[in-house]
Amino acid sequence: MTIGGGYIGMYGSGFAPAISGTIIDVRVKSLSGTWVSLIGPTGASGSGSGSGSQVIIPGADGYDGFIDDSFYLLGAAGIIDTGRWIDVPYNSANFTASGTMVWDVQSGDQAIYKYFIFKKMMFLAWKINASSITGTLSDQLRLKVPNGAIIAASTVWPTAYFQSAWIQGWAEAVAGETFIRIQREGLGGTNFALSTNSTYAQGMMILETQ
Amino acid sequence: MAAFYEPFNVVRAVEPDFNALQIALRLVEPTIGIIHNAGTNVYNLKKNTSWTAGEITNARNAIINAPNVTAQSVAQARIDNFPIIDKAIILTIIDEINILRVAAGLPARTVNQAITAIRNKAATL
Repeated sequence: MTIGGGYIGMYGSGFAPAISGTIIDVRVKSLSGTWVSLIGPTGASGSGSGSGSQVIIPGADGYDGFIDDSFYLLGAAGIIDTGRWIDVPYNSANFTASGTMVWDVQSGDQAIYKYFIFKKMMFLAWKINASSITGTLSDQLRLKVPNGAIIAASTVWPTAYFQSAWIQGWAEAVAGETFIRIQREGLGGTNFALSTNSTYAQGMMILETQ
Repeated sequence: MAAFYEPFNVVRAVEPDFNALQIALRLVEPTIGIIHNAGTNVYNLKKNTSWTAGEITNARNAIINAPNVTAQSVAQARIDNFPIIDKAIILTIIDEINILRVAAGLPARTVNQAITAIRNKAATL
């Protein structure tokens, strides 16, 4: 992310309430790798030239600021990288299914599996290609919620899957679970079909995490 | 399960019909899967055994020759994979039509005839 014009998107008082409470510092990292705290000793001023809740990240000309793709919040749980999509490294254990059905996803099948978090909000995106289904058929493919997160609120989002045709399915998040349920049309009750390298699933959902 | 990936770079003017391409590739080898992002020329194909030269040639030809995706071809794939609700509606209509056909001395329509008629109709829309 490149921010020009001298301001980051928390100018004014709008951002200040959002960072009160659990967030104890807000930092950005410059292209040179320098960490810059946006909360000065008074809790209001930026470390650059700025006043009040207006924060200016100094650049080469003293006005423009350029930061990288990351935006970090230092909260009670530690530093949270909240400004960019984070790819989830491949792990076959991230792909399971209900019952004794097996969702076999190889590393090369994982085209997209990434998340973006802001406090208790997680954006999750996935695009799984050419996967296989074996075992006793059931109605849920299960994708692990990244970053060790636990779902806080149940919700349902439309997704797409392919088993001989692209069909709209559903991704369901259930509070307390650590995976999302990817289901066919009808939101449950319809089993997936056995397949060899021919099951595709893709979608995106926003989760509230604990 | 072992997986063997083979990249192909094929320039097409229009995206292939995904289902038709998969069917064609499965004739080359029955475990081939497709990893492809629309708008790119890269088709990374996956199968359970190592690739032979003949399979690579045939798979490339399948990508080149796959029909273009159209609204009609997508609809036909959907018709072939009707969910229960659509099946129930169509089968009920067929049953009712056949009551009238038999009463009129006409042969009953089979389910396959009805599905073929629906696919053919989709192709004309």
